[in-house]
Amino acid sequence: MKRITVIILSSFIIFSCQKAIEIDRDTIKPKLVVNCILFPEEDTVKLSLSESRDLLYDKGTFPFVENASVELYENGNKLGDFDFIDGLYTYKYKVKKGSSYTVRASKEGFDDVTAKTFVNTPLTNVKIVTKELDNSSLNADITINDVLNEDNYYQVTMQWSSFTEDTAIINDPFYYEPWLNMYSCTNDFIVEYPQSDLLDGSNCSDKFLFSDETFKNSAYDIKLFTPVNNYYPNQEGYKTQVIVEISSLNYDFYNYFITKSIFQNNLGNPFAEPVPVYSNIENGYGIFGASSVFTDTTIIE
Amino acid sequence: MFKIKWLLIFALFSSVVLAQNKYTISGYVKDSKSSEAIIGARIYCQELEIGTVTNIYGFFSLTLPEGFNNLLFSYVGYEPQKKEVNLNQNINFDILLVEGQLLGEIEVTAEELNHESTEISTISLSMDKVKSLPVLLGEVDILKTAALLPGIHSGSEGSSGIYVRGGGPDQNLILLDGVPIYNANHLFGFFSVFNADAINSVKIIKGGFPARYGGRLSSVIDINMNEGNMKEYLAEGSIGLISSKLMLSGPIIKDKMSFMVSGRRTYIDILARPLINAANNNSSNYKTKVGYFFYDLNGKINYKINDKNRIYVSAYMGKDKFYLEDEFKFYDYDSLKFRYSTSEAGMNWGNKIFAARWNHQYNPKLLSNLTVNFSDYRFVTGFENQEYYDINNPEYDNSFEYLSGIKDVGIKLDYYYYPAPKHKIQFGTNLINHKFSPGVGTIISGGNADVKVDSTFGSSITRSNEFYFYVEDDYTITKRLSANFGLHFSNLIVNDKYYNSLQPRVALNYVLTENSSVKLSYASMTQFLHLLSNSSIGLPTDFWVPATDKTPPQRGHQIAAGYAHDFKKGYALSVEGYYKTMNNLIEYQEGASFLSAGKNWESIIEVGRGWSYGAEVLLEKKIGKLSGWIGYTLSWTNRQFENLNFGNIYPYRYDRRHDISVALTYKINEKWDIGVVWVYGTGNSLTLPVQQYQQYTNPNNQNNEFQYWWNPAIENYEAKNDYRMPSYHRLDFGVNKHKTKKWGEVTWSYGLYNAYSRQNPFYIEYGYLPNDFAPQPTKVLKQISLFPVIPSISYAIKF
Repeated sequence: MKRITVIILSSFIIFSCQKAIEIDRDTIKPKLVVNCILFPEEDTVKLSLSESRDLLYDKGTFPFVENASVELYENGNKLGDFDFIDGLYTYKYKVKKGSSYTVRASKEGFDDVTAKTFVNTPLTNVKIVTKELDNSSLNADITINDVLNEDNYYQVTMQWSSFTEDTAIINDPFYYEPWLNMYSCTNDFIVEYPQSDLLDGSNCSDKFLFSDETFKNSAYDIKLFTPVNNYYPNQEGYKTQVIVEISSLNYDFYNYFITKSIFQNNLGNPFAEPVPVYSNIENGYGIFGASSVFTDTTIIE
Repeated sequence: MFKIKWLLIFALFSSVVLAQNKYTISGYVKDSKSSEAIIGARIYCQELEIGTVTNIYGFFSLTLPEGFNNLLFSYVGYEPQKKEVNLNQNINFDILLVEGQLLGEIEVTAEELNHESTEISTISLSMDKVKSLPVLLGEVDILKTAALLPGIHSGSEGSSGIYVRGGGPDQNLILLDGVPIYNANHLFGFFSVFNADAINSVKIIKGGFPARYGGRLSSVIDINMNEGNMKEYLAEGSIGLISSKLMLSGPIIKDKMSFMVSGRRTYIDILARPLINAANNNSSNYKTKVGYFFYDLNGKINYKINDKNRIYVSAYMGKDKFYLEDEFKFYDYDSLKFRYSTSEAGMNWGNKIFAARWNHQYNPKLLSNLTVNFSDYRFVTGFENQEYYDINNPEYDNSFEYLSGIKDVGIKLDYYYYPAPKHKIQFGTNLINHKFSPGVGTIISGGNADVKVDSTFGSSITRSNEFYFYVEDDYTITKRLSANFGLHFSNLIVNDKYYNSLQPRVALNYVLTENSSVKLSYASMTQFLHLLSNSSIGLPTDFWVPATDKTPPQRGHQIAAGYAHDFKKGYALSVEGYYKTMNNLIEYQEGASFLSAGKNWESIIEVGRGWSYGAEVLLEKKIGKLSGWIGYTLSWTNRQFENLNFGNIYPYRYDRRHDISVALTYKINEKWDIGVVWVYGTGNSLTLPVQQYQQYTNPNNQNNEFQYWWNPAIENYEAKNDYRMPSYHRLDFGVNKHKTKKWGEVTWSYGLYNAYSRQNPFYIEYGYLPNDFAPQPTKVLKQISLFPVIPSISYAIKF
């Protein structure tokens, strides 16, 4: 496929010539970027505040905004101001299900930004059975009981890690292996991201996103499977552990996550249609959303 | 609707009654040298001030009172011919017009004047004009010339298709001898598939569509091929910088049967092959071949069985091909023989069409035409990698092929009925079977490898049946008021679903003074096809898909109003305004492309609406040493899709606020003529990110530091198509030198395309300039342009 792209483009490049177009960078005013996801199971709200840059900015990282005024509101009532610690704004508070939260950030030289989001009921009633079949593949059977009377959105991921009881290795960061995302597949048809591949009828990805539109207020089963070479079990001296993670995302985070994933997948593809990434930050960019996570860990013997 | 029906019945009835003391003159108007039909020639009875024009077969029928009548037969570029006829019975004869010199004002009356006609938003392109205007690389091009007219533009250099009054490239019904052409472009739109030497006439309709046309929302481009010379053999050919072409025509049976064949092929691949070989260091172990060419072939046979029956058989075949092949061989010391590694990749696309038509004249007032046609458009891209010792037994053979196309088989019956001078009635029916192959991919993995795959994915083939009926009457209601009323009823059966659409059409012309008129039209159009196309650059990868439940038929309505004034000395002015709506348009979803392999096309599209409005001014000079036109268009074109651009209205990518075109030729003397084209257009709309920002990363995720490289900045698009590219303008200049030889005529054509070397935008992206060799190159917004000033020379002969 890449080759075809090269042929198409090279046919134009034969003739083409290039020049720079002037951009008045002064007219592109940086905006505040808020990135904050509320987790009801955590007791601290963490928020990243950075600056946007024009597209000619060519560094990998973006400057953090320090000494900004960042406030958190619950159902319209101010809870308090965030503290800036180690590059993050934090506010010690455990958000509540069924509440709406507003964040306001202001800093001299920038437009004030505001964002509002709603915390859904955390997932509690989930059943996950993870097992290896014939040393050839790993299957995860997940049953989600949809939270009543709410629009819910879900993300399912699998991660794996090898571990050893050899303390010398555990304490040596060179050998320490972090959790790795596991590439798995599903034949489920309600998955919104990624979309199914007609070649074999399945979806394969490191994450699956879907809404409860087709199983509102009821239970739903989704099965994931992955071949053995995606997680390399049974290495000598190591054991493999697998985490199946179900995140319940609210509307804002779900839309951000899907559009961001599609945007990321298409980077560098000149034929793909542009993807505007969802943002709910007024006068700025980023995401203010909410999510709760349910995990299940299985050790593969 | 009720009124229209009764008006038609009344018209038919009154014509029968009134025709009792009248007789009909009918026949064909032809060129005296070749006997080719002259389309649009005027037949005028001066005493009665009534007339008609020939149809696309050169046929005319005029009913006049008994007795002596003086008739004038005329057409631009031909000497008018007067004929007195004593009518005491129906008469059938052919008129042969002699090609003449520039005759001054009399030529102005040689064809129906704009202000006399019910046609609105309609322009006939003269092939002489098309051939005399300067063009890119000397390749005479009908569609590029059409794009110089107001309301029509060609997107950008390198974009395929043309855009008429805010419509998409799929909304143009391009007919070659009555058969639709689905991709009328060579080399991504730089050239059209129509070889000008093989073309007789071109008519472009942008609005006020007569009921005989249907199936597209935005325009009709009706192109007729030459019929072939009935009297003598004729050859025309030219040698240009990138291609050569040849047209032969002549009698098979004199005055009975003629043929026309023409061919054209580019030879960039052949000329560039030594350079490519040198650049790729080809050796005995390594060989590579890269190239591109296109060709097209046209042919037509015209057989006059008798005065009442004629048969026309026409065919077209054209193809574009890109190819890339390389072969590497090395000696394998284990097996003690050469092992070969080869790869081939490429793409090709092309049309094939065939039409057989039978003209039958029942009586002087009724002519029919039966057409059987076939067309096939295919786009194929793919690659194949092989490793082998013996080519018949490969160790490894992997291939991928992606095909999209549309195949039509159709039958069409049209009747032309001339009951009275005030009525020209046309009615008919058409049945088309479409076979769509919208993006079918095939992966084959074979050879001696362990894993073998042979799989087809993407969309399955879809068949649909489309049929329509129509009736229209071009009715001269009073001396001042004339109208073209019509109804077009189209139907589609696809996937066991039935769709239909009744489309009323009306065009009115009211003559204000002896030189001017006002016009008004309404047309409802339905289109049962969609073209799924990329929004960045138009490619042959765009594919045709049928209307389905997910993508209902496109429906459009257009109202146009205009003022036409024919001045003395051949000047004509037309001013028109229009408003057009288009529903059920399709676009790719955000993030999707034709490379979304494995996805059914219906799952990667969005359905929305569009609308366009604007004004067009065309000032033409049709005759004289200086001729040509100046056009100006002011327009707005928008789109709205529920799931694109967050549901907000956005400008169409080819929304062009201002568009100016100047196309003039000046005949200095019999030897020399010059042509000048200047175009200006507001820059195209583009979706361009303006700011970038850090994406969300979970602060609790222990892997963030490892994954940081995989969290690229998010580029923020404020809105779809909210960036305007720099404006487009270009000056072309050409000189033709004609020399008459004993055996024929020679023409040397010299041209400059983009004479002041304007760097017009092809596309825009962020990146680095190729000549920035600094250790840390500067990121810029760069514009890629295709053509600087390009000189051309071509040599043409005619004998």
